Amino acid sequence: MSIKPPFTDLDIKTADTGFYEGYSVPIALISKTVMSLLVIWALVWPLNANNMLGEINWALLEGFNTFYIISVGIFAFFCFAVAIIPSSGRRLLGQPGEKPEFSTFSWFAMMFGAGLGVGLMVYATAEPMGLWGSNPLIVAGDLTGNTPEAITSAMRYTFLHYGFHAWAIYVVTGLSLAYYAFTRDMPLTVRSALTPILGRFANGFIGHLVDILGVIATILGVAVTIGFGVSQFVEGVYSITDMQWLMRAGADGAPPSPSTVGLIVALVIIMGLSILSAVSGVGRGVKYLSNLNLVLSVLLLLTFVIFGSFVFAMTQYATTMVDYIWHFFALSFEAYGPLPQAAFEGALPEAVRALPAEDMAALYTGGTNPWGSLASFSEGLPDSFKALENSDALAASVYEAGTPGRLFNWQAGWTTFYWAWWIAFSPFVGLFLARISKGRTIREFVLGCVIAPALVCFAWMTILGGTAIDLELSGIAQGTIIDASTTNKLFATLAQMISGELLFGITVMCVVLILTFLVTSADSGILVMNTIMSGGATETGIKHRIIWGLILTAVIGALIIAGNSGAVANPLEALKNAMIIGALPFTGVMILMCIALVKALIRDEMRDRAGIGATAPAE
Amino acid sequence: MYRKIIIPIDLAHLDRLEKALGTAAKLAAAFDAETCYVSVGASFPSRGYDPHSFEAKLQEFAREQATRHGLKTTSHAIITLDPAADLDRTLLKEIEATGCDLVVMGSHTPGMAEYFISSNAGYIASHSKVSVMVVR
Repeated sequence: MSIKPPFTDLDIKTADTGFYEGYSVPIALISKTVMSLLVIWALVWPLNANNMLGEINWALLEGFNTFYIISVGIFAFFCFAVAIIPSSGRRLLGQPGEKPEFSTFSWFAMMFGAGLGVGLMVYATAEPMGLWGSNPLIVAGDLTGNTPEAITSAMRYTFLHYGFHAWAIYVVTGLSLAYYAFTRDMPLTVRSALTPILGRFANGFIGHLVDILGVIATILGVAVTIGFGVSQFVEGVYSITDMQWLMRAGADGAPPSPSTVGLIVALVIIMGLSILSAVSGVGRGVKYLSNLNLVLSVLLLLTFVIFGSFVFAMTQYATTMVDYIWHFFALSFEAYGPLPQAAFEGALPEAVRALPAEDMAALYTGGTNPWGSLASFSEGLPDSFKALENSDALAASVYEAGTPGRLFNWQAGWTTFYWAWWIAFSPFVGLFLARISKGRTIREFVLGCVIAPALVCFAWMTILGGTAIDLELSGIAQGTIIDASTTNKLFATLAQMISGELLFGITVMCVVLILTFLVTSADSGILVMNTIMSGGATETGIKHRIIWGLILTAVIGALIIAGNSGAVANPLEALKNAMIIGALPFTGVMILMCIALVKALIRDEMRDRAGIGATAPAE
Repeated sequence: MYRKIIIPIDLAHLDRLEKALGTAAKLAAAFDAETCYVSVGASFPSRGYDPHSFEAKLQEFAREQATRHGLKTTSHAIITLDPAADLDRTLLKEIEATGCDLVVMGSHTPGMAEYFISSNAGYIASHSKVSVMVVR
């Protein structure tokens, strides 16, 4: 059987002169138009935008939650398979005989720089704490939240969200990009990864579309990261300076949350610094900030090791590791479907079904709300229900009937949010991982980029989160950490753990660290968007870096304003919803990437046997 | 008066550099100076650009200029991580390192944008210690 050399003739048309010189005009214009429309919509009709985004998001999740979960499960197993199978695992990401560009140590250091993003600052204590109060086992009623028995399950889901799956998502994109760029000398851009499937169509509109999806996913992924980071930054600055205008009082005694003005001021400062850093270039701003990040993160970790519950955390690390690997397969593919109201009502006892329709709707909402408990559900029952005979036992059975719905709502609101976030981030982190991994084998790349960073994330989450849990378990914190908002949990934990000038010093350091993490994420994001828009060129114009920095600022600012305008003001809700919607098409692109890579690997193996070089002819 | 002329070029835009290249060749002939063609490229491949063959292409270009104008030419390809941002500083360093005494550089007609960010040639002219001739 004869086999043809691969299609490598990717010719992305870019403008030769004028403002868009070196840029693909359709990609740039369509991406800019889409983002401008989003900004205008969110600014002119904030309430409408906020509600619509929420509705579209939930409508999509009802259909696509399973798709998200299963896809990510497949990504993880795909990565391991490609690494383990001998013929693919030993292939080199580079020309034959090429040596790695960076030493293994600096390779790992840079990888952590990309992975230890601001998400790890916001969620280091918030994630284990949140999951300790609510995870599928607690939702299903097998365990009670915030008890010692629930710790291992909380850590299991923490590991799930920050572990092998998260990094596998990055690696699928990174591996695809690296493979074509380094073995076939193709441009380092999203559409290269689909050339085995698209062939010459990759040069046409479909190719543009794939790149645009990559740009939009990147913008929204970076936007969510910055939104969370800015919110945490404001909380941090508030706890140092006590400036009231940064915060606004929460309704009904809820803890105060950052005010819109505070968020926008912080956003403008952070994005201004990011644009400066992006303009100064990869060799300067980005590099120095990454090094600073690493040093400050180690200092923060050491603070927790010394003053926190290190022994408790290390014991938990070992226990959770075993537990996580034991449940790995189930965690990967356990997708929950939505529970329609009709099905819920069908499962109710006779006596309850006779209640009026609006009370039934209340029962459905309460019974499928994963953030409460049986006790809070029983308290909020309608009067007609309380009047029923034997209402306590009935309440328990109604709550039981709502379990599938609670599980779905939990997963769609939590795990799927993460999966969408990592997917939206994957063009960005994937491109970076590809860039630093020239000359490695596929096996090195996959195992190095999935397992090593995941183990570090685990340690980070266990040490910081474990300390927070231990402070609550031992009664020292008395619920202050549990009650703190997501972005304030780290500061609440610090306040319980240390005091006086040390607390002040570490809080200042955290604020600086959040700032530098944010600037690093934003400036790299700006660079990646420009790379995609110029058809994979690393040489991107300074003007365009500034323009995209401003667009990114506008998108985040507009969505924060929209999110804060809703009935339940949550500055990050609109950002989250927009991101989950925007990441969905790119999930499809990633599935195609896996298929394309399988095809390329098989065909290249055949080409090697037939003696046809898989690479472009040498010049 | 001049011994060595350095000419920063962009291989992708040679058509726009005709005038600068011609000027440099005339000057080199007049002063019997050596010419050195310098180009800065990225460490990653992109459309129509490949770092492996970058240096060879530049050498080829320098040889072609040598035969066309009858000059002594050399060339130097510089690879950096982020050419767009590093170009000005890289060129300044190169100018110092080669010990040249004249820079001949093509540029575009300045417009509105130059009030905010100077062109590459504008930056070199402001900061270089040797003479710079900006060809528009």
